[in-house]
Amino acid sequence: MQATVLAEPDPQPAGGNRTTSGAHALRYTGPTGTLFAIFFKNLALTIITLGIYRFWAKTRERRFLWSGTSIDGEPFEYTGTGKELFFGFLKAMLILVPLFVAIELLALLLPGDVAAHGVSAIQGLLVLILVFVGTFAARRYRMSRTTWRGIRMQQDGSPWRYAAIALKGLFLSIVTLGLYVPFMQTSLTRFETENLRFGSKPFLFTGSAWAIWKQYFVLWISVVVLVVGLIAVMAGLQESFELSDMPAFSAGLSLIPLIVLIAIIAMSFHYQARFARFRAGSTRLGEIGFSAPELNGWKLFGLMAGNYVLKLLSLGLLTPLAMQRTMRFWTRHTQLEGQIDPARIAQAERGPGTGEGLAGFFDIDMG
Amino acid sequence: MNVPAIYNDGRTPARHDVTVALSAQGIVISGYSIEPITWTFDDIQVIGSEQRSALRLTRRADDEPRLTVFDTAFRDMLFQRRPELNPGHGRSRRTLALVAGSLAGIGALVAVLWFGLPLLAKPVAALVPDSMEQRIGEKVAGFVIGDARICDAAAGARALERLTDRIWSGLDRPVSFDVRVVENPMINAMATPGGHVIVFSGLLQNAEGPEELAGVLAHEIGHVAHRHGMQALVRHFALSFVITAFTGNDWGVGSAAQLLIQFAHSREAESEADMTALEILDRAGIPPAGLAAFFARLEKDEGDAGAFLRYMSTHPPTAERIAALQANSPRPAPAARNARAPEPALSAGDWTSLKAICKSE
Repeated sequence: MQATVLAEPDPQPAGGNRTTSGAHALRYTGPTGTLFAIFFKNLALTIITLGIYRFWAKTRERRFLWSGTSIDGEPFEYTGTGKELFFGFLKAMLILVPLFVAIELLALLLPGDVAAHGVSAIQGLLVLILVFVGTFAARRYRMSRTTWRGIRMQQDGSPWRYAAIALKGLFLSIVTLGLYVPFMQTSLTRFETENLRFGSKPFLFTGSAWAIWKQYFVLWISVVVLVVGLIAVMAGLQESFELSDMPAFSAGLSLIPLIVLIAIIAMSFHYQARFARFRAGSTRLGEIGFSAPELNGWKLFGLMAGNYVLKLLSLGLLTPLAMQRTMRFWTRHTQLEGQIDPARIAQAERGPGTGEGLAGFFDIDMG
Repeated sequence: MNVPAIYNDGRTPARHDVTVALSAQGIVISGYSIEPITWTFDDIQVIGSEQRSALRLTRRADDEPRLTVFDTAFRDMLFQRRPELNPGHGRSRRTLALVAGSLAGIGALVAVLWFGLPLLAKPVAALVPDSMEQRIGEKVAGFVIGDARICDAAAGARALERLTDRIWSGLDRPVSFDVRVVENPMINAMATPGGHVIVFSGLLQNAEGPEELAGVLAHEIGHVAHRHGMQALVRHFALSFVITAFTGNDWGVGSAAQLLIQFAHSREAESEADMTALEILDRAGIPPAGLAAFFARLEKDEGDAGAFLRYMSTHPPTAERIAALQANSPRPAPAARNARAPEPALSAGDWTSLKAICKSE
């Protein structure tokens, strides 16, 4: 017999239920050429079917990405089907479309501009709520279709509760000029994580929002200081030298918004990397701890800006390359360490029968 | 031949190192329990990974356990024995079925919309209470007029009233409508639900003689009499409902289809309004040739705009309509009892005043 063997997992001592210890290798090994083949086949079929194939396309893509990702050489598995996504979409349509037609009809019937504005405000709020609900409901479906070593993930928690947390966070973030943002992100992450299970084993979130808030505040205050400082310096210059007539001065003045924008973008990448590290470091599954010690703002910027340029210059045709970069980036930067006793984890219940309808409606794309 | 494999029992994430072998009935798994387990060929399901990776199997009867075999020779032997287990087997046939099913579904939907909507629109529009139609009509009229000025120079308004009275006298049943002239250079006129007729001043300037304007007004009132506005609105809502439900909200295909179907039906409505206009003009004793003459001049101005564009436009090809109008206008005998011998729609003085309705005093 010929001994051709494909990517065999790390050899382990013989025996059944033993504990695994130490660092675990999270890897992504999906071949780029295969993903390109899937991508273009999907694109062609989606166009031919006027969009209907997109549910099956998404499923093929996910099967590829999931089975290309492994822990200690044992790959994940995506068990969802295109049919489930298609029916989930139809179900969401049956509820949403009459709702929006009714709202539009109402706008037509109510007299006066105020009523019309009121209706569009209600419509906007409804869309916002449904986007959050849809995001979380899609997450529930996706997790229930993700297995490792034959054990399902399970995302509990009500999508409506998630939307309520998000809406409250959004409101407070606006009111506090952004100072509440870390609290909003932390409470959403906590809700996601503490309601997530691998089989019967729940994930834990141990982070405190204040820890990340302190780091955020430093960045926030430096942006504020920069803005105030720039304005003060320009005003001072203008006062003492009466420079306002000089074209160089007005050119410098118009640069202020650009400088501020660059500063905000830089700070935001820096913060998002910090938050991702905070998130990983605060997540546990039993004795297994996660971390992302090497992640920083520059690397995150490199990933995002690179992907953006790739997609933009190729008019989307190099999207598979961007996907590969993203998968490799996050698997490379996430570390798992600690031992776990598999005998103490049982299978999870089966998830929802159909999925992602709402997210599909609002075109929320989560890979 | 025994090959190493990993077995997950679907109850815990424990990894069980086992050996597998092919037997006549199926795959024999040894090393998990004391007695070897056999998965029969008919029970085995292959889990697709979309890439060259280890062979992963589960059972139809219980899809929770997993068997992962890394040896490619074992995979080849299994697929040789049972070709239908290969994920690639029959895949192009399944994809073709999906494509054919999608296209058939789209075709069926278009057919239902094309033939079903006009059947649906009339009775549903008839169900809408007058008060509701009035309110909707006000909204639509307000939207059309926007910030434009409504022309109401006193002499012109009096002339317009005389003209609408003439047309009113040609109705064989009461139809409530009002006519407003709005300052706008476009050569157009329209009727909203609830009978609000809006004439753009561009049309008024372009018209050569009161008979042409009377023809256009009679045409718009034909729309009102048939409640075309409300029917169009019902069609619009029904269509956006079905198309959004089918395609989601982010597909340009949907709005293109919507425009196509809307236009197809408005073409029928235009012809219907034309025929009603001829009857109204005939009974009111207004020379009906004005309507055809107006359209004929419009068509000449239209020149060689692509035939395709014309086909798609809200108005049926003008030449076709003119032919139909000319064939129908000279009636051998006045049909209605109150039909009169044709006389000018307005006096020369009134026509001059009406043309100047947008000039402020």
